[in-house]
Amino acid sequence: MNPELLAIGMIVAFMVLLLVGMPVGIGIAVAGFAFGRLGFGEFLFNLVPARIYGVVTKYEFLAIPLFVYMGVMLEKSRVAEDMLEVIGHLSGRLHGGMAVALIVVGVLMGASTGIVGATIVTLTMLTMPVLLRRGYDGGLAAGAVCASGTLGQIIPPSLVLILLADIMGESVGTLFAAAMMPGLMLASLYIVYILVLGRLRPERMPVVDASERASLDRRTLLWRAFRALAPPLLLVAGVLGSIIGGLAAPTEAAGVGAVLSILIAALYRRLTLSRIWEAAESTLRISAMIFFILIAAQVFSVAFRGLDGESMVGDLMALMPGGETGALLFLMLLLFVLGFFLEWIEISYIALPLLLPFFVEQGTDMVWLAVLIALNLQTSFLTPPFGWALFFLKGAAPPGVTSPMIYRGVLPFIAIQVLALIALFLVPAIATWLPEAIGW
Amino acid sequence: MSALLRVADLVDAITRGAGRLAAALLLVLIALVFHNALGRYAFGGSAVWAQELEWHLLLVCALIGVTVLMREHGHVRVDMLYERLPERVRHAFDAVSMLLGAAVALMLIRYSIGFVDSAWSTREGSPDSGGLPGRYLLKTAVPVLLGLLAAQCLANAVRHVAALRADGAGEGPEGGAPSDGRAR
Repeated sequence: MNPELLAIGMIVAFMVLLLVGMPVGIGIAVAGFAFGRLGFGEFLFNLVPARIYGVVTKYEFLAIPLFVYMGVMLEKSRVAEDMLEVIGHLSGRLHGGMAVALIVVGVLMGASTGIVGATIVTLTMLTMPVLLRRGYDGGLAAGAVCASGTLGQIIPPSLVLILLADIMGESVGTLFAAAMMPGLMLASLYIVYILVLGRLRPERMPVVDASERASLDRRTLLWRAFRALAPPLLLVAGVLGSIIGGLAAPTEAAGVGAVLSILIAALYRRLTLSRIWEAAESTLRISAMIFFILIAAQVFSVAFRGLDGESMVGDLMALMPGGETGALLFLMLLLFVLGFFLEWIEISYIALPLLLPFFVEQGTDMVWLAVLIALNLQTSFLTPPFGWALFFLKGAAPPGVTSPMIYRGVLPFIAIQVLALIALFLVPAIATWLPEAIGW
Repeated sequence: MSALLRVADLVDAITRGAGRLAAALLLVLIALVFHNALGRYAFGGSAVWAQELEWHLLLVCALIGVTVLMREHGHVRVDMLYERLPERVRHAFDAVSMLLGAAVALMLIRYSIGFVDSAWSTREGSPDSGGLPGRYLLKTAVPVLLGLLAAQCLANAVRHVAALRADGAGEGPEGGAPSDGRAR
C-alpha cells in the first residue's frame, strides 16, 4: 500500500483512539506500531529504545520534575491562597482586585510549573473557593483562571518554550525573550478587561467589606502583605532572573527553585516531613504523565518518518494557496484544532517536527513562528467545548460552577486572544524586537 | 481468576514499593541538582559523576513513575465520550487498552535487545573521565522497568476482566472512576 496513505491512516487511527478515551500514551504507540509494521515492517523500530533512553536522560528534561515540585510545594503550603487574601484587603474599594491578583498569580504559577493541567487544577483549588466565598461571579473567576493558567505556559521560564526551542533549533534564551512582550501584552489586556468590567458590573466582583477592612489597621495589613507576597515573588523573580540573566541553565534554576520552595514553606512554618514526601509523590506522578507521552511518541514519530509522512506534509503545505502566508494560516488552523485533542508535549514532538521543515525552507522567522504557535495553542486550550483548561477547571472547581458558566466566562478572554494573535501576525516585531534589542 | 488476581496483587505491591523508591530518589535528585548548581559557583564546578547521576536518577524516576501512574489510572485521556459509557463497557474498553499497553511495552522490550546487547558487549561506561561506570546497566534498566510496566498493564487488565465478570459489582481496580485520578 502507498506509505503516505498509511501515514494518514495512522494519524486518523490515533485520533479515533484518543476520542474514544484510550490513554494518550498507549493510543499513540499502538497507532505507530500497527501502521509502521504494515508499511515497513520491524527494522526501523529498533531505533526506538535508544530514542526513549535519550528522552529519559535528557538534561533539559530534568527541569520537568524540578519545576513541578516547586509548584506542588507552593500549593501544599498554601502560599498562593495567602497572597490572594491579602490582595483583596489591599485593593480596598477597587472592584476586581482579587481577580487581577489571580491573573498575576496564575501567570507566575503557569510560568514556573509549565504544565497546563497542573497549573489549572492547582490554580482552581487555590483561588476559586476564596473568590466564590468573597462573592465573585463564577464565570468571571473561571475565565480568569483558564486564561492566566494557560498564559503562564508561554511566559518564561516555561517548559513549553524550552521544548519549542529544542525542536526549532533556537536558543532557550531567545524564545524566552521573544515571548516576554506578547505575554505581558496579553496579561495587561486581561487586567484591563477585568478592571473595566469591575466598573461596569461591580456586583460581579465585590470588594472586601469596609468593616472587615477597618478591622485591620494599616500597619498590620502592610506587614501581612509583605509576609504573604515577598517570599514567593522573590522566589519567582530569582528563578526567572537567573535563567534570563544567563546565570543558570533552566534545569539548575529549577533545582534551586524546588529547594527554595521548601524553604519558603518552612518560613511560613508549614513545612512538615510528610509534606516534603507528599510533594515528591505527586511530582513523580505529574512528571510521569509527561514522560509517558514523550516516550510513547517516539514510536509514532519513527513510524511517521518510516512512512514518508514528512514529505507528505511538505507536499500538503506546498499545495496551500498564498505561499508562506497561506501555509502559515493553514498551520495556525491545524494547530488550533490539534490543540483540542493533544497537549503541548504531543503537539511539539509529533506535529511540529513534521510541519516545520516547510517553513525553514521558506525562510520564515523561526522566533516569530514559535511565539505565534505558542499563542495559538494557548487559545486553543481555552476554547469550548474541547479546550483542556476547561475540563481541568470543571474537575477541580466547587460544585456550583457549571459548564455554561465557564463557557460564558471564558469567551471574552478568547476574544482578547484572537486580537493579540492578529496583532502578532501583522506586527512580528512584538515578538522579535526584544531578543534582537538585547542581542540574544 | 482468583489466582490471577493474587498475581495482580503482587504486581501492585511491587509497583507501590517501586513508587516509594522513585519518590525518594526524586528528593535525592532535587538535592543533587541544587548541590551541583551551587557547586558550579561556590566550588568552581562539580564532579562529572555527580552531574551524570542527575540524569541516571531521572531515568529511574520517569520510568517507574509511568508504571505507578498506570496502576492508579492517572494517565491522560480524552474523557468526553468515555465518561458517558456504561460502566461495563468502560471495563471492557479499559481491559483492551491495558492489553494493548502491555503489548506496546513488550514490543519495546523486544526491540531493545540490540540496544542493550551493544552496551553489554563493550561493558559501556561513561565516555568522560571521572564519570560513572556501568552505563550498560543503566541502559539495561530501560527494558527491565518497561517489564514492570507490562506487568502492571496486565494486572490492570485482569482486574477489569474480574470486574466485568462480577457484573460491575464494584470489584474495579484502584481508582475505578478514571476521571478522578488524572494528574495533569
